[in-house]
Amino acid sequence: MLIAALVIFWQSLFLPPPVWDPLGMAFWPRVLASAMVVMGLVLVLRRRIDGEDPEPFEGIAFLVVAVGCFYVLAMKWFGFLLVTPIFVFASVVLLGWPPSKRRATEAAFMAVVGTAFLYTLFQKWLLVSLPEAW
Amino acid sequence: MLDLQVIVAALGSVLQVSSLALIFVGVLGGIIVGIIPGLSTTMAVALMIPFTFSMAPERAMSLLVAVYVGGVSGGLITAILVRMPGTPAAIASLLDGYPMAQKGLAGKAIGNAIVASLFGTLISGCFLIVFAPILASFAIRFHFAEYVALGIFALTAVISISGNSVLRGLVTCILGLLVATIGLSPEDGLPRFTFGQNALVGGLGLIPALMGIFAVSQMMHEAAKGLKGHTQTPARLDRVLPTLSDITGNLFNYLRSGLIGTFIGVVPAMGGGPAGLIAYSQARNASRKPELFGTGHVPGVIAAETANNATIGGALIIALTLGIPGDPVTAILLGGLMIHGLQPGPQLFAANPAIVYSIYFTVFFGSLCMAAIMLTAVRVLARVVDIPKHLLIPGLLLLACTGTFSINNQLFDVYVMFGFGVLGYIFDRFRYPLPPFILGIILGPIIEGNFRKLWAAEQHPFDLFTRPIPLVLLLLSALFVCFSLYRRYRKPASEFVY
Repeated sequence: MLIAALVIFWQSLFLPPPVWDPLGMAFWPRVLASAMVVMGLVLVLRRRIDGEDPEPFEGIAFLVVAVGCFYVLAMKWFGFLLVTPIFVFASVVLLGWPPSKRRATEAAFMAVVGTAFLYTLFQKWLLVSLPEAW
Repeated sequence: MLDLQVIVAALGSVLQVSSLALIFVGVLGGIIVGIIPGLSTTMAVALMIPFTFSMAPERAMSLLVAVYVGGVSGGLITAILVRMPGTPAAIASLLDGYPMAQKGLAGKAIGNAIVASLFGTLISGCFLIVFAPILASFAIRFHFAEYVALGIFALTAVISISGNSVLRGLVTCILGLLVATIGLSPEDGLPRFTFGQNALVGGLGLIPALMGIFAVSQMMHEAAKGLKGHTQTPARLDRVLPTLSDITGNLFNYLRSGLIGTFIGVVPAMGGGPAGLIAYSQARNASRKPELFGTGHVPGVIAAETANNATIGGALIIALTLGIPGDPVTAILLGGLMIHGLQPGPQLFAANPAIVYSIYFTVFFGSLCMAAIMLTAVRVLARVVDIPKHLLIPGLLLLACTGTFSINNQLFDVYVMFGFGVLGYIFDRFRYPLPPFILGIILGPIIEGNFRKLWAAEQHPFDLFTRPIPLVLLLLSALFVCFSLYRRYRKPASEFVY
């Protein structure tokens, strides 16, 4: 937090000087960054906070985000209709590990129905242009 | 002067079967859009505009207002059941709604939220009819100093929504305020903290932040629990209708939150999110058991939902009486009026009172329709909690991705959502409260923009202390902070952390 606040303060030094008002666009971020430094120091100084360990991080949780980001990246190249069923199928199988015939059937059903539902809802009814194959 | 003939004619028009059917369809459509994360009420109302071209103005406005009422209310379902607020207005509803669902009291939470939404809309509807001109004159007194003071007053809600760790809540709130500075500075028309990236010029966006901080972080938790073989906590649906004691015991809460929501709704650009959080904060402050808030407490759900729905009447007051759109939805509603050759503002009341009364009646019938639909359908909708986690998580993730993408048709927003998801997960692990972060993102531009305009106009900020409304708001903020600190330090030190 302290480092982030200091970086923001430093970055604010490169913002253009005030033009139409006396405060300028750097004023507010500097106020906030300063407040954050104070808060951060108070938090560090409070012994209570040090005595309380954070809950452990779970790597699997970050896997969800990694898979999600990979899905978005793939969607840019291969389009919503092609990537979404694969993403849903793979996610359902992974989260329902160990795989079984029933899980695979569930995954396949959800992949097809989910993709068709969302495509119809967004692309056809709400006229949202979902990413298409590159 | 109330013209009884016009009122009866407008009532007769709204009570026709075809009009009631339109209201029903509009409310249902609005609820569905409200439930789907990322889809906004603005989008739903805008999509309905082409269908109104061939309708009589009264019916056209009935349809649009009905969508508005449904859209504001629908977000509570996913907020309570899966911690995924369908709309920003539903942020405060998850503070106690989701813990209730986790305890197996999802039905009670949703039922109370629906009834609170109904009461909130009705209370603001009454204000719309009786006090519209007075409240409109109050709204036009809002200049830069008033906005800054209201923003500061709203920020005091951090104390209430941070649970036992106010200092950490303040830190996350400041982070939220900082995140809101990224992108084009509206006052200067210049980019700020964009690091040369065009994608950042538009800012990081409230909806991606909301989806990431609450929904994606929760899915990360659930996925970790699910794959480790933890038993899931089913948010089973008990009874849906609230008990009489739930209602009678919260009458003052309904009224107070309804008033807060109406007043916040009247102020342009504030909206349902801050209204819910301020009402939640005031309900906690007025409660004899403030420690129960945030743990799954019915009055918390009631305060949040009553206030966010009460903003409907407030927003319509200023839109109809002055022709000023307080938010994008009312801007589209006013557009709908103008398409039919009607000019919003004082002359609308004189020239087309039947339209005004039709809108009033639609607010009432629409809210009744909303309560009936949601109470009937909630058991079906709530089956989502019975879906196994390995199916639910990919489904929700897919919905969140598509909904977030649909806001600007940008994949970048989805990456931002995942980024905020990781941040939310880290905050959770370190026990930093999440709602103040969103409060900061919402209030940041309001406070900064108006403070700079105030300073530019006056060359000093003394208007904050010399004008009556800002002074009262700042005094209320100070009183609230002092009272909260007094209550907090009366408690044993072991009950809270910093």
